[in-house]
Amino acid sequence: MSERQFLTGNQAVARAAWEAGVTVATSYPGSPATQLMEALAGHPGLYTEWSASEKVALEVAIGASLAGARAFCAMKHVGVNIASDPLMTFAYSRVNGGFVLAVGDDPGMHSSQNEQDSRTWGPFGFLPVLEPGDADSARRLTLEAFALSERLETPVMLRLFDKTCHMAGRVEVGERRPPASRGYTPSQADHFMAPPYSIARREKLEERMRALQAWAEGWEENRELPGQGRLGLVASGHLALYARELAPGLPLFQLASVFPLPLERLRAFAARHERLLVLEELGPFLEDRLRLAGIACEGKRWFPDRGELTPELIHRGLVQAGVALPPLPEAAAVPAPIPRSPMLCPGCPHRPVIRILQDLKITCHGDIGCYLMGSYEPFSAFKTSISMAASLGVAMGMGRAQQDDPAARPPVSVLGDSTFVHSGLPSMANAAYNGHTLKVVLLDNQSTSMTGCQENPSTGKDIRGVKHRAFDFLGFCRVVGMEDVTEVDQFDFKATKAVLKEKLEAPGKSAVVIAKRPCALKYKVREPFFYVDPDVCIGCRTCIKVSCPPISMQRYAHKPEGKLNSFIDETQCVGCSVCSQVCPVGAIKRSTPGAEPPVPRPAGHERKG
Amino acid sequence: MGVKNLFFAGVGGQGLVLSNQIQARAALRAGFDVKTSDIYGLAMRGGSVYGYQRFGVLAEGGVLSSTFPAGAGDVLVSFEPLEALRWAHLMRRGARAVVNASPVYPSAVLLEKAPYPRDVVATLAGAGLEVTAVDAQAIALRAGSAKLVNVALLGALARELPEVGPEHVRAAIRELVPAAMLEANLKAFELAYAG
Ligand code: SF4
Ligand code: SF4
Repeated sequence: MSERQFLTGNQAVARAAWEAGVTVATSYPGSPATQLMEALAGHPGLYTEWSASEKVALEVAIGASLAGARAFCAMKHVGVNIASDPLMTFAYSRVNGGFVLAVGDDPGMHSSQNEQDSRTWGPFGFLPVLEPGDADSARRLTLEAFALSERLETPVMLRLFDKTCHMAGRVEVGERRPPASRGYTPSQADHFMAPPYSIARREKLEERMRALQAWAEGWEENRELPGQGRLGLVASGHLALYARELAPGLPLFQLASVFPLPLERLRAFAARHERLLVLEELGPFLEDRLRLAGIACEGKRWFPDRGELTPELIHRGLVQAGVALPPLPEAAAVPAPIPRSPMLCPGCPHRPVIRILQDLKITCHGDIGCYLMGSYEPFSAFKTSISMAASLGVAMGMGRAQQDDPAARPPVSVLGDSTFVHSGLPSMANAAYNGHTLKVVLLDNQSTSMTGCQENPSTGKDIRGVKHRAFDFLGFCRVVGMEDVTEVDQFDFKATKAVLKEKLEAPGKSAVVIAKRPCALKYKVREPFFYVDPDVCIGCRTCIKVSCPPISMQRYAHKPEGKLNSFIDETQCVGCSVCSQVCPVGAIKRSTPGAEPPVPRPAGHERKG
Repeated sequence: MGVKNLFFAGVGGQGLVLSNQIQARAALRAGFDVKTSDIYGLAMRGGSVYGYQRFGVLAEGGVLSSTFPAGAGDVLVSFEPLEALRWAHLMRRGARAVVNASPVYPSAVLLEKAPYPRDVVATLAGAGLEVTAVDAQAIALRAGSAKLVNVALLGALARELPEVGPEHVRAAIRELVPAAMLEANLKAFELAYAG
């Protein structure tokens, strides 16, 4: 029996993994792939987890696959860097239970630090890479990925994009059909990847690649869509759909396997056309492989090699390459509006810490999490950000480089709970072992917030909300050799400022300060709101510099012309009190529940409702 | 009829993804093929967020791509005036725009680095859009919660989309909104649909 559901690409892949009988599924959250595991955790009959990092996620999935179960792992593109150590060697081994790794790429860097191209793992690691175009094909390709993995005993990578993860469409779904268990038979020759076994397995990879090549040639999802004209187009995934819609008359070779490519069929397609045009996002991966195979083609000459390929850019490239297309419709012309960058939420526990660090004028290295907004206006607290927990190593290295400079103060690493557990633990051991002077501010908000407030070791709750054991940050730092560890409540602004000043400025001494307030978004703080008394306010704008969404400078009718005073939009304020603590004249006060504040409101901000 | 192109624009936290989903399911119930594309991730924290929706007749080939090029938009649903300006270039001349009248100030305005744009509706109209300004916040508060702005806007949108029909939007709201909030959501929809 089949039925149709309306699903996102992420939900469709999760559905397919469930239908395929996956019993162990792991992930570390990261956009655009976060909802894959969230969707899968909603299905019955399988084990899912938020792992501490992508590397751990991959290894847990490997163990399940070796045991004969179907295993699924999901992560964003940069997560594969962390997981590549086990992945590159697992690819040598003989896969038992079907193993699929879903990876979310992010051309245009909507929510990522780079836009690396996951297809390159294919030839680099002898991995087949499949690429769906919409939610329905995402399900079909995932099912094929599991079958292929078992048939050719290989891990399979499913490459998704921001666009394919977050698009939704009608998907034909089926029942869960777990294959008969394959069981576990110990075999060092297949699974103990060190010489001499790994040398023998490397030989076997040649055989596997030949079999994969033959599979790609024969797979019906690699298909030719007819059209007219002397120019043939090659495209995969969602770009093939964009192109089909913009240029329905163009012959199109729609690829579903981007590695290996069905080269003989592409050669035949090329021979039937005068020119071959390759449409692909990011670098010339397909183009290079076609050229290597002696198939002449054009591609990056017409389309950008960075960022997202929008319908406009595809249209422009096709027209410039000589495809006759009707012009795009005329667009409404409006002046470019001011940008809107993300802001820390009202009540965010990172706000006071970031404000203090900036006030102290210490060089701070930032990391990956919501607190990276501490580098946006009006803050510029963090000077560097590289990768997960890199701030720790960067601070150590910079400290060593500057150790003979008497004017230099030890650099500070600022990172959150999830990032700290993900990649910071070895760095902390390194600091103690090598005797670095390391200053760390740990923002433990008990949530992986930037990706949507997932549970993590700090909360001690698993993906289904079951409580196990919460990570003891204070205990860990002490055990690893950090003697000076202090916990602070950052909603006490003055006390926190005093602690940070003392601990971070002291020369030659390592220190860890743990800020303990939880995420305002996840834990939904809602205290009585704060209001400004415009007759006390001196208009100094100190409160504006804590950059909280409800606070703005406004004109009050009874105040002198041309003078602005602060105002707090009570529908947004959650009552954290931080702005009231920075105001030098005490103009910001806590409201009494149920009572209207005894102050006038600014012009144009009359109460609604 | 061809494919109808909708664009939802707003600020992270306004419930835009849910309204795109509700509207999509309403179009599905009305028998159309539908594709949507939303932005997730960092944009959640008060940044600019948006979503595409396209629906078309299955017998005419349905919908291939989940996005559309600038100038092809038929209806803009904006949760915030400044965001309507940001995305108006996606619309064709003569497109409809349903715009919530309440501004949410971006940080540049809060920090007094830039003024909030004046006369957004006039600017949009000058660019050839047919604008309906909706006081979605007032409607939401009348229905019981400021959070209902998203469903209030769906009520105003339903007036622009007779081919979908309000009964299918109501059914989609029942499908997607948790029971505890259902009554208030339906009320916000009806208040806005009545105009
Ligand atoms: S008390 Fe001040 S800083 Fe805290 S949420 Fe309200 S306006 Fe923002
Ligand atoms: S910090 Fe106090 S005095 Fe200064 S603008 Fe804000 S409310 Fe007014």
